Amino acid sequence: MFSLFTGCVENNNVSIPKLIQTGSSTVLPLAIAWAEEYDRADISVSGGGSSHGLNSLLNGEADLGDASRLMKGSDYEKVGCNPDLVNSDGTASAACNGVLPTKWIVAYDVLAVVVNNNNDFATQLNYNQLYEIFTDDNPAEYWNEVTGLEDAPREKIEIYAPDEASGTYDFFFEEIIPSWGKDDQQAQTRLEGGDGVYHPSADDNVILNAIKDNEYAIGYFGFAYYKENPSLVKTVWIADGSGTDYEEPSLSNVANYPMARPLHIYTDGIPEENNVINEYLYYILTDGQDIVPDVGYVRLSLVDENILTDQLNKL
Amino acid sequence: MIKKKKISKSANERNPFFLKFNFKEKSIVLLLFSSASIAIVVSIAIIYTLLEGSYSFFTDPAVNFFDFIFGTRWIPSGNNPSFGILPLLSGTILIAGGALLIGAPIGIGSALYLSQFASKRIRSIVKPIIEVLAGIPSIVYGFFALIIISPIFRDLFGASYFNAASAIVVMSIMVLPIIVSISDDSMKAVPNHLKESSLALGATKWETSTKVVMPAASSGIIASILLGLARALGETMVVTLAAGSVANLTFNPLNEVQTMTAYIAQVATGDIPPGVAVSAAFAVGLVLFLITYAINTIASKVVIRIKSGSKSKIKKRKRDKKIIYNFILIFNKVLTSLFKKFLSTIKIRKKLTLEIRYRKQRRGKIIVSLCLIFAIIFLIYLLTNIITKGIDGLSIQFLTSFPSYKPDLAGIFPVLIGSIYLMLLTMLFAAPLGVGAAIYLNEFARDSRYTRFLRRIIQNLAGVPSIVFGLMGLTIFVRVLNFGPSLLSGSLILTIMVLPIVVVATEEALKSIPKSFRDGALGIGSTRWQTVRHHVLPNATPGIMTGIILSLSRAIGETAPILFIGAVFAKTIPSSIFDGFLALPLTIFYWTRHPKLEFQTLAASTIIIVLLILFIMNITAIIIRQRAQSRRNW
Repeated sequence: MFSLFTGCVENNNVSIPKLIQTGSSTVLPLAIAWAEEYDRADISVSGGGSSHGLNSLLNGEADLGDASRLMKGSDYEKVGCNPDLVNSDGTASAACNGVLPTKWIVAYDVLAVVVNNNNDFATQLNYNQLYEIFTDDNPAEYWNEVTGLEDAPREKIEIYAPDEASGTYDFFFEEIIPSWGKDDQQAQTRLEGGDGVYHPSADDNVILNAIKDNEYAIGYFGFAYYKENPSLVKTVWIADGSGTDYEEPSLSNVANYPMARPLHIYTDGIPEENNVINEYLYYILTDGQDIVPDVGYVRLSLVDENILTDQLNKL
Repeated sequence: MIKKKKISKSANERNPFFLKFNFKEKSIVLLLFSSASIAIVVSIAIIYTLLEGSYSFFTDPAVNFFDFIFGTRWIPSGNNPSFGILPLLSGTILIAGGALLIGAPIGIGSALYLSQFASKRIRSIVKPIIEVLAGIPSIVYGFFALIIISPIFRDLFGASYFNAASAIVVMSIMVLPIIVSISDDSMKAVPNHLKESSLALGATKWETSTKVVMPAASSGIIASILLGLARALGETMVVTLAAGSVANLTFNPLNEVQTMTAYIAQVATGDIPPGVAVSAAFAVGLVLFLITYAINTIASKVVIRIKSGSKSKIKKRKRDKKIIYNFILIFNKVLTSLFKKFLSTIKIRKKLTLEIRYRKQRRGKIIVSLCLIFAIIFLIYLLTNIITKGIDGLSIQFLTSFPSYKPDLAGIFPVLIGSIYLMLLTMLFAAPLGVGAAIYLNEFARDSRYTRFLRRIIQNLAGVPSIVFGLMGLTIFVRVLNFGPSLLSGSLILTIMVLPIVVVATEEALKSIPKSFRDGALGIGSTRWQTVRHHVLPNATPGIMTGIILSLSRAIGETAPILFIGAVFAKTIPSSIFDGFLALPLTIFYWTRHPKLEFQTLAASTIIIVLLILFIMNITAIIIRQRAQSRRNW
């Protein structure tokens, strides 16, 4: 059996180049869909987190590193390079160990704030209200303590959401806490505050189930988890700042909805023309965009046509 | 022993094959010695990985060593982080301790029933069933804890959504296979003449089992408990899913807690950029490593004491003056006297008639059989749960097609092949290494400081969290040795992870061979290797098989060690050991986290396949075991 199978596979794939792609578990479903549809390379895809993806790329083990966050100076530092070479937009001004990480935005992830199906009082929230619910700066203990929700029942707020090691967590709080990550950061998250209201989990399906089971729970995760299970929980319409222009979270409304984050693939430099990585990136940015909504993410053109054309011009 | 060897040497001098024999003998011993010493190399690699990672933690200005050890708040992120390890420590102690408190008595009770009271038929059915428990991927246990067990505690006791209690209950089941298998083997291996003498003196079967067999098998029982504890300490998935991810300083099992392993896994697989919160994970790993080492050191002293207590007093060595040793002695005495008092107060001592003794036996038998029934009911419940969920996804197409992002096209063909290759390679490495190490430790090594250290180091490896093996493998095999993310790297990591199970089980099997066998063989002029090869090993086969099967069952269901190495999608199957691979637990892990519900059905279907493989492995082992046991005549 051994020789039979290996033999026939080798014969079929003698000319097909092999690529290794690894990193963020958010990008993973998307990467798998692309790898499957693209038939001119044999791409093996794995997860392990954004840090693992960038680390593997910098160590020369992976051809493509997936990241749901931007590359940071500490990613360079980890492999013994100068952290100052990394710019604040996640690009690098010089190579590290012979690898020049180059950022490609490949899709957008809409972040959905969700509540229990029986919740009829918090169906729309603005950033100020989210701030009162999710941070330790004078946090609301009961639902009716949230500004504007005075008619809500006097029930304890319970938060089920991603843990602090997740990129979603970082993005969510960057949105609602002013100066997030800087020295004058205005507040801490309720998880860091430690009042026992924020119950983190690394598994979004677990969060989904927890909110489904708890009538007064609130949480957030990638829109894909809502899209596949729309009957289990309810999404909250969101308005920026203290505004009242509540926007529905959906793939098509991404241009107006305030909470959407870019998903990245990093490669070593801009791959040369005729290089398989170049062709693969070209596929991802053109035909590959058609399957993005199927996986639950937003295609680039819906957010900003310019990003797409700029990137295509580089290839 | 040494004298005898000298005699055989001088007798061999006139033998024309003497030199050749001697050379072979010596090189074999050297080989065995090196396979045992590999544990030290591995431990050094682990410590190196942990030290390298935690160096930047301890040198960070935000970190204070004193606060790390005695601090009561663990808040790794934010602008005011706090790194006090006590909350993680309390979570770890609560969960691993609780799991052992429930799992050890049930496990030993089941083993007692299986080895002493069960008929051959029941035994041959039940033992493989229990061993299957070892191979169920821990993520399955995790969801079971969260979805089935946790609501019970929530509804009845007002526990929080994530709670330690559900993790404890499920983890006590997870440690059962290790405790039952190894205890059972060592109790089964107690020489018949001991039992027969006891029965001949008029003891009941129950008295014989508890007062003769159990003490005689104590080293195996304690070894099994230690391995069980190690399993509980190193477990990640169940804790992250069911117990939560908030480090609370509490011993209330109804609360949300985080264990040390859970923190390491959370950070290692996250998106959080390298920094103090990430390097903290390595420091936590280092502390966990030291804790397991301390536990193993203490336990090995307990084993020595129990052994010297059960043997004649002449052999008792001069007292160890160390505080720990004395402390254990005193603690033991207090405990036994308390226990005796407790018994005498609740029981008005009647005459110990035969009737009472038999009643006691009946009661005891019921209790231990209940232990077994509990384990089996749990397993059947778990199995029906998985099977009803996953049976719909099973089809020929599922087995023969490649993974896909479309659930109705997805299959596990390369996943299955990857896992089979991985298991074959792991067995290829782990069996000779583990058995070799055990033979060296048990047959050739003198009771020196070095061998005691080796034993402890090997047991210690069992307690290293599987995610740490993953990190170490990434550093050593993938990067330093440049094997890449390949089948070779993956199987080497799994080999290291399962090595302690093979070594401990084999050692117990070797110990169970009566000394008279060896004396007899040496007496007629065999060399020590010939003795081992022809007289000890053949008789120890059943126990060794148990060890290998248990270890492979463990390896086939583990996600964390190969998380950074294995892939979840590929279009080809590996054609050499340097190729990348897909593996069953990784696919299950990925699919259970997938937003599409259909993939969760497919995950359940994949679990059924894992269980089928386990059954096949176990049945093979049973056949070998029963053949060997039917030949046993001592």
